Amino acid sequence: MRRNHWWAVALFGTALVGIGAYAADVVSGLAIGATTQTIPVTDVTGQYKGEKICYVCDFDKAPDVLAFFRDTSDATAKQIVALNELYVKNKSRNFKAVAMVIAGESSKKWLEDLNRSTHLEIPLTYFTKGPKDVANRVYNLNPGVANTFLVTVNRKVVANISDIGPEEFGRVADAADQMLAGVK
Amino acid sequence: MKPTLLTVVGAAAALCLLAPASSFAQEKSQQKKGAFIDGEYVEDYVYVPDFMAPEDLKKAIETHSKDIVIVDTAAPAVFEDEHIPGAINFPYDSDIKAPVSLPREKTLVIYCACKDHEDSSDVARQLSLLGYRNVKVLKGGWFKWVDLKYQTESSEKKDGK
Repeated sequence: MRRNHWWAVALFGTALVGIGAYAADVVSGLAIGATTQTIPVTDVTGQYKGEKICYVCDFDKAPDVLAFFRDTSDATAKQIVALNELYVKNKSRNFKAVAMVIAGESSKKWLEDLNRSTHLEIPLTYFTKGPKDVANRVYNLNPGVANTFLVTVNRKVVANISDIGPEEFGRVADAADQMLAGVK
Repeated sequence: MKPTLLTVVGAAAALCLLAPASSFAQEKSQQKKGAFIDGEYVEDYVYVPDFMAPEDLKKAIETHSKDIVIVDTAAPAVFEDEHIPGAINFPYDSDIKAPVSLPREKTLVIYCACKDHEDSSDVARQLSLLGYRNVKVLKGGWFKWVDLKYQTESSEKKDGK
């Protein structure tokens, strides 16, 4: 009886350590279970082009991916294209996605050019005040990482994947697929 | 004894991991059935926001009205950066639970920085389910207020005075 009890306690402890390690993996962005908050960004290519808009509010409780990119680069371009493909594949399931470039207004032309050359359907946006925008603090974005992907549903984060290369984008797609599998 | 204890521990760990993903479907089904208003079940309840025009809120601020409380649903950092004068911060939560710190005897004027009042309407809806009767949503929200060039204030500046 006493031995059984200690075995169960050890198992429960292991489960807690596992959950703790999972949370400790978050190097940038909100933790799993956190509520996504309003962040107005400047829309470059979406339906609110030229305006300040909060896509977090606009998507509301729909399953989505909020993608934050530190700056404009070939790697960022590849991941935005991959995110758009993920959106096109799942849009019939009310899936949403948005790309937000932290660098700010300096990224506007790059985003316009990218949209023109690749015909993207997801909105491309930037942080209005750039790296000093308050959204960095609200979303706990690590200035040392290139990107942060938050997979969310019902305004709660269900997966956080950050600082990945284009070849690892499958992790974001897998997390989105898992989330969509749980949405009726 | 052994299998029972293990089952409980395993189920608890599984619940911790699966709760965020399952809550969406659960809430959707609850919304379809109706809602409890002040403990009474109301079939097919649909919340309709009661809007307040920004001009009216401006007048209320200028006349130092003591009948209203302005509620900003932004995250604390956004609120500290800039908000409507006199507003208090009540960050958006998709699942507000009682007890709520907001007063019941005054009219709450809720606003957010959303195009279609998504956050402010949802907070107003949830508060109505918790028995709040005097809840208004600021028409046009933060964006309209700023477009009209009405006064804003920053908590950071206030603290620095």
